[in-house]
This record gives sequence, C-alpha cells and structure tokens, in this order.
Amino acid sequence: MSRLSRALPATVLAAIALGLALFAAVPLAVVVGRALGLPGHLAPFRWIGVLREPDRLRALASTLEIALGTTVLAVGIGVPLALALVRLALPGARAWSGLLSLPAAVPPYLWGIAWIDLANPRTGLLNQAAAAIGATRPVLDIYGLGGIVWVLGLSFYPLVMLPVAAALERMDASLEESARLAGASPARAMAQITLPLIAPSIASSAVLVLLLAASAYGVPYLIGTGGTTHVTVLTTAIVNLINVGDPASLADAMALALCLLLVSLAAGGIGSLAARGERRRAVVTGKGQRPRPVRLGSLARAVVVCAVVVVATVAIVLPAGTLLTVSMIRSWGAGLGPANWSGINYARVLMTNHETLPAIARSAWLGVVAASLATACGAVLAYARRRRPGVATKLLEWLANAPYAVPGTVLAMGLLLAFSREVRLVVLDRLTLVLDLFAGSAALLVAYVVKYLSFGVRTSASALAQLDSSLEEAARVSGAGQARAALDVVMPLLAPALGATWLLVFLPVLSEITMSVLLVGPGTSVIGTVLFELQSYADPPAAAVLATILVAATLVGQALLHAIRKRGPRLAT
Amino acid sequence: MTARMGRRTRFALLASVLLAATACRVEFGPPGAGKRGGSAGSGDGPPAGEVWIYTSLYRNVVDDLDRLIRERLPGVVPQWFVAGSEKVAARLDGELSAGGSRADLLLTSDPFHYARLKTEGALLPYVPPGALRAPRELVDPDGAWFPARISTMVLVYNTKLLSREQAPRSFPELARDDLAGRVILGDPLASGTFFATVAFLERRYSWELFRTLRAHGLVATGGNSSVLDRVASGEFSAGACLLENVLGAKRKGSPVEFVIPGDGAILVPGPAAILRGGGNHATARAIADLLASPDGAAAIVRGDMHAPDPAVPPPDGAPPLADFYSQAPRWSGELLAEVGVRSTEIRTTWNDVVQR
Repeated sequence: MSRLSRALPATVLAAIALGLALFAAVPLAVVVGRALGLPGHLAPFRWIGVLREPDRLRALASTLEIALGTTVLAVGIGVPLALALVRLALPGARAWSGLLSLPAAVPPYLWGIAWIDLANPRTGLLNQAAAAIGATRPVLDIYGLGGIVWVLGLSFYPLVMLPVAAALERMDASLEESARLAGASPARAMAQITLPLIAPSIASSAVLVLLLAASAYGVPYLIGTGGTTHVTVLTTAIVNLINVGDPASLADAMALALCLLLVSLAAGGIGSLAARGERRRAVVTGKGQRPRPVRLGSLARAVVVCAVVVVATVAIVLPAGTLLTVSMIRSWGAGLGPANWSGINYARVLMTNHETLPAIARSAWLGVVAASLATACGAVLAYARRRRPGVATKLLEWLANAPYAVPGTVLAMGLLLAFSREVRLVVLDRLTLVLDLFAGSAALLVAYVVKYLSFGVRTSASALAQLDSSLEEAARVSGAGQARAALDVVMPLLAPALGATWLLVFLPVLSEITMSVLLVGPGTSVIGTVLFELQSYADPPAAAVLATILVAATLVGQALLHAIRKRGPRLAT
Repeated sequence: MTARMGRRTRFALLASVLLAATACRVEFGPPGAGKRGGSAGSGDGPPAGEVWIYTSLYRNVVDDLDRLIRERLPGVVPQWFVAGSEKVAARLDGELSAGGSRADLLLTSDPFHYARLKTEGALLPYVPPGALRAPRELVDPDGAWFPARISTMVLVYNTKLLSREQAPRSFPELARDDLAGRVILGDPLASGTFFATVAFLERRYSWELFRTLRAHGLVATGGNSSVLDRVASGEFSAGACLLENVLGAKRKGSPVEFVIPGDGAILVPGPAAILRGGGNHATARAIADLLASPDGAAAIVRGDMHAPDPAVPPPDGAPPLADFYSQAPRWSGELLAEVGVRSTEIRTTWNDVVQR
C-alpha cells in the first residue's frame, strides 16, 4: 500500500484537529477570556459573582427545569415512536417516520408562534374552540414554563426518534429471538433485551436534547416574556446583557455563558457516564439479521395506531395547519376564515422580496456542506476516540462537543471577536495567506459545522458502541489497512446512523437564525436571516409563508429519498 | 516503527496545514493592493469602490437606497449588513473591541449607541449640507452624526375591540382600568426604540407609570412588529409601536389605527454616521450627502418614515412632522449623555419593575 494512503487517517484527523483548534477553541477561549476579565485586570473568580444575584440563580433554575422537562417529554415521545415505527409492523411506517420527523425541519420558534396562536389565553384557537363548547375560562395558557417545555419537547423529539430508530434498525435479531425462545414474553424481551441495547442511543440523544433546550433562546424568549407570567432563562439573560452593550454587561454575559457551558458539560459528562455502562454490549456482530417486526393483536394494534395519530395531530397537524392558515391571511387580524385568504403573501415573499429565492438556495447548499462535514468529521472523531482512547482524542471530542453547549449568540460573538479582522500570514514577503471568514458565507459555514459537530460525534459514538470490534478485526486479519477496514466494514454498518445524523444537522442548519443574523456577510442572506427580517419587519403571514415552504420542502425531500431508497439496492447488514 | 510513525505524523501535519491553507485567499505583492478600488488609506479620492453599510433599515428601503447609490455614484459598490439595531450594535461593538470593523457607514435607530461610539472616538465627524435643514437638536453638535430618518412612537389600538373614543389618548391612559390586561409594549431590553421610549417616559412620569402599568397586567415583549401583530390579532387591545409599522399594516387591511399621544409622540431619530476606522471615507461622505438629499429623503418617506427635513411631505397616511414635532420631548446632548450613563440602571430598574 502506498505511503499516502497509510498517512491518510492521521492527515484527516490532524486537519480536523486544526479546524477545531482555530474555529472552536479560539472563539471559546475569547468568550472565557472576557468572562475572566482578560485582558487588563485578571479576575478569575469574578464570573462566579454574577450568580450571586437572586435573579440569575432563578434563571439558572428555570434553565435546568426547562432542559430536564424538555428532555423527559422528547424522550417520552421519541422512544415509543421509534419502537412503534421500527418494531411494530405499522402500515406505512416510512411515510409515518417522514411525517413525524417534520418538527425538526422548522425552527422551534416558528412552532412557538403557531402555539401562541393556538393556545394563548385570549385569542388562542383551542381556547376559542373550548369556549364554543361551553368552557367559561381559557383551558390552555401557553405562556410560562410549561408552555416552553411543551413547545421545545414537541420540536425536539425527532432528535430522539431518528437515532433510536436507526439503532433499532441495526440491532442483531438473534438476541431478542433467543430471549423469546427462552420463554420471555414480548414485553419482557423488550424491557430486558431491546431497551438496554438501545440505551446508548437514548442516552446520547437525551443529552443532545438537554443541551439544545438549555441553549435555546427563541422559544424561551417568545413564551417566557409574551404573557403575564415571566420566565427568564440563562440564554435570555445573556442576550439581554449583550443588548445592554457596555463592557461590564458584556463581561457579565460571557460569565453567564461560561456558567451555561459548565452546566452543559456536566450534563454531557453524566450522559456519557450513563452510556459507558452499556458500551460493552455490542449489538451488531455480523451474525444475524434485522429483527422481525413484532406482530400485534388487532386491539393492541389499533391502540398503537391511535397513539401515533394523536402524536402526529398534536405535534404536527395542529401547529403546521396553523402556520399554513396564517400564511394565507391577507389582512392580519381580520379573521382566519377563507374570506381573508389569498396567495398574495406567497407572491410577496417569493417574488417581490428578491432575497428569498437566493437565500433558500444558499441555505440549501450551506446545509448540505455543513451536514456532510459535521457527519464525516463526527464519524472520524468518534472512530478515533474509540480505537485510540487517550488524552488527545478525549480533548478533540471535548472540543467538538463544547460549542454545542454554548448559546448560538455567544458562539457567534466568539467567532466575531476572534475573526472579524482578516488573519494574514505573509510568506516570503510576497505571498500573503488571508483568512477572511467574513468575506462571504465562510463564517456561517464555520459556525454551523462547529455548532452541530456535536450531533455527528455523539450519534456516531453511540452507533459505534453498538458495533462489535470482531467485524473490523476480521477485515484487518484478511489484510485490509485501518482506513480500508473502517471504510469497507464500519462505515456501511454505520450508514443508517450517519444518514440520521446528516438529516439532524441539515434540518436545523437550513433555517438557523440565531448565529446567522450576526454572522451573515454582505449579500449572503440565508433562510434564517430572511425569516428574522420577515418576522421583525413584516407580519406573521410573511414568516408563515417561509415556514410552510420549509415544511413542504422537507416532505418533498423525504418522498424523494424514499423513492431513491426503494429503487436502489438495499444494504444487507 | 516509531520512526515511521513519526514520519507519518509529520506528513499528516504538513498535509493538514496545506489543506487549511486552501481555505485562505492568496494575495501576491503588497498586502491589500487593489482591494478597495479608487481610494486607498483614509480615502480622499473620488467616491469609488466597496463601501460597507451597517443598517437597521427595512429591506425595501435598503433596496431603494442601493439602487439610488449605484445610479448616482457609478463605481461605488455598497455592501449591506442588515439586521435589527441591537444586532448591528452587537456586531459592530464586537468587531471594534476585536480591533476594527470594516463598516464605513452606520445607519441604525439607537441614538444612545451613537453617543457611546462618539465618546469612544469611533465616529468621523461629518454633516452633509442637506442635513442642515433638519431640526438642529437632531444633529450632533460636534457633527459626529446627523439624522437620516425619524421614526415616531405612537399609540396603537385594535379597531374591532375599541372605538376611536375608547382608544387611549396618552401614554398614562394605557394604565386605564378598562384596559387592564389588554396593553402591550415592546421590550426595552431587546429593542432600541422601546429603550428610548422608556427613557423618555421615565423622565416625564417616573417609574410610577410603569408600576401602575405593571399592576394593570402590562406585557412587554419583542419589538415593534411583535406589538403590532398582537394588537392586530386581538390578543391585546392597545399598546405603543412605531408609526411606520401601523401605516404598513393598515394598508394591508389589518384592524389597527394609530393615535398621536396627547402628551407628545416620542420621536426616535435614526442617525447616520461615518466610522473613523472605515477604509473608504470619501465614498462614505458621498453616500451621506446622497442620504440627506431630496432623493434620499424620498426613499425614507417611501419606507413610511418621516424625513428629518420638515419641508419634505410626510409618508402616505401620516400627519406632517410639523404637526406633532413641537409637542414631542426634545433630544439633546445632555439627555443622551445622562441616559447613556444611566443606561444600565434604567434597564435594571425596568427588570425590577416590569419583568418580575
């Protein structure tokens, strides 16, 4: 084998390490530096002082409550759905899984707007419906902590459902079958064999949701300040401080961001400890096949179908229907009936606003590139971490995960502070290498990859935890190099998980708002910045148009993927 | 084995550094040569080349101005960063504290930010001749900025829920008992125009006004459009937001109407300023001239804002500036300085009084 291909794995790893050092470590260091009071007067413990105010402590407590609540809700919906879709022979399981992953395609804060339209105490449609059938006071109030958990949980459950479904798909059937042969009931086999086997996937996706909920800004702001019950969380406190703008507030903001980072790192640590116990149980061993779906009695089947339909109705049909209706409203406030419907908003957003179409195209390619990079780099990092455990790979894994725990605004500020000026390296007095992140869309791409790399690392790591090393060893014994064994044996087995990861990165990047608004370059609008503009300057129908387009595009994309998968050869695992 | 590993690692490092280098732009010759056409250095040549404008103007106004600039100043390539005032401020402050921003021109709506930038020495004094027609107190005495537009904070109400007679006529009337739980304002912690509004109202009525409002169930969230949307939808009956938002929504048929408050509409001037650190001062000056010219004013008025020159006709459906200018609370250098110093205190007190 050539020297080049032997050095390839190390080269790829070194390139990723360099990228992480530049674009994750440097911005985070800048943030931490500000929090510690650098430069000038160093005050290493000043940042703890920001927590002394009772308001901030309450914000910390609310953040924890919301993060935990959201995780419980998302896992509670996502895991049963994954089981129902993969293990119970539901009619049209593929179509269901496409529909049920929709919440990930639309930024949570648009779902938040839809839920405010549905469940605000005064004009909420559900409350009006309840009043029509005799309720004397509003039955639902979206404003408050519960409402935040509700919207975030319904937005994030696909992040649990997709990886867990992928884990279930690559499970070795023989394990469960042996349990059944040994006399265990299906329920017992499920509880004692299947659930422990997919535990790493559940744990890693629960951590993802926990971190995402802790660093969410849009929904907590919208729902936490929109009604008479005020909820402040760390992210809204941080952004308020950044908005105040004076250096002391900025330092406080960074200090709070550091607190959030530490909280998140602790959560991530607990999550990986929980997953570690399961690591020795390899699921994919090269023997066996996909588990046979569990056949249900007709009553049980009807119950499960009903439950899935209820989830789909509550999580998708209601809010998406609201967005669709709102997108057609000609005069906002003049009623929601067909008399007030028109296509003018679509014409206005798509044609008159000549930013929209290029923005959609730009977001699409940024999403494809960012998702591919994050998935590939994540897989490489997770693989390196597993095959070469040590300080270096541990550090890389940490660096890949840390930016995810930081609120988007803070990460974007870090990148701005670190790279808003060109970095110039002059070689031989003539040749200048200029790193100019803000000239085009480079800053956006960097931010997206750095922020969502964590998805790639975590889902790959949990998928690798399921793989038995005997498969790769067999390839090595047969004479394959490490790279070849990884590419030919490990990667195909990881494919379902990588596919799920790709989608998990692509969808949020497609409509990312928080970082995009700060990092967008001249003439490089993306869907998120257009959404932000429509939301801040136009009326709700205009923003709902883009949301509807996102939903429709996701459905069409999934239908296309489905068609391709049907025609292409199936990977036998 | 170790020797081979070492060589492999070295190769890997070299390869990855080369890979990283492909992400860079490569320049030959003296750094920066030919980057900005026409005017190098502080730029005193004829207007030409790239000019970076950071603005919170609405997209349609930006498009309008972009067309005007390209038509009147051929060779000038405007590059726009468009976001809310607070986002623009966050980005600019971040860049400045990191050592420099590429912004040449700043066009947002938060006068307090300009005052701070001026004390930090970030602004290059320049007042275009056209701006001399604006009321004197809206132009910085040292010429660090001049007004490019005037936004007006007015009262807004839902015409399906309130009649013209029932509508609040002044800011204190928002605390009327019959409006309890029905009033919404923007969030001064998130929106510059509401910060200015709160600063003015607090000077005039003290925090007592906000305590009463809060006791009556005031909600304060988001910016102007969020207030307008939720008054239009009927979730709230009345509130305060910018006139330009109400005019646009009325035209689209939303059931909203504005009231010029009897105690004076709050004027929020949208200043324009040239940044000292920008690399294209000559072009920035030419664009400033254009902004203050009748054509620039016309673009502002098409965007439903008042032009600073009282002689320019008002936007469609709005009263002329002169009708309410005399009652509006006055801007002054002292006010800016005082509120600038108290800015953190105002925001903290707001938090205590309203958001608890």
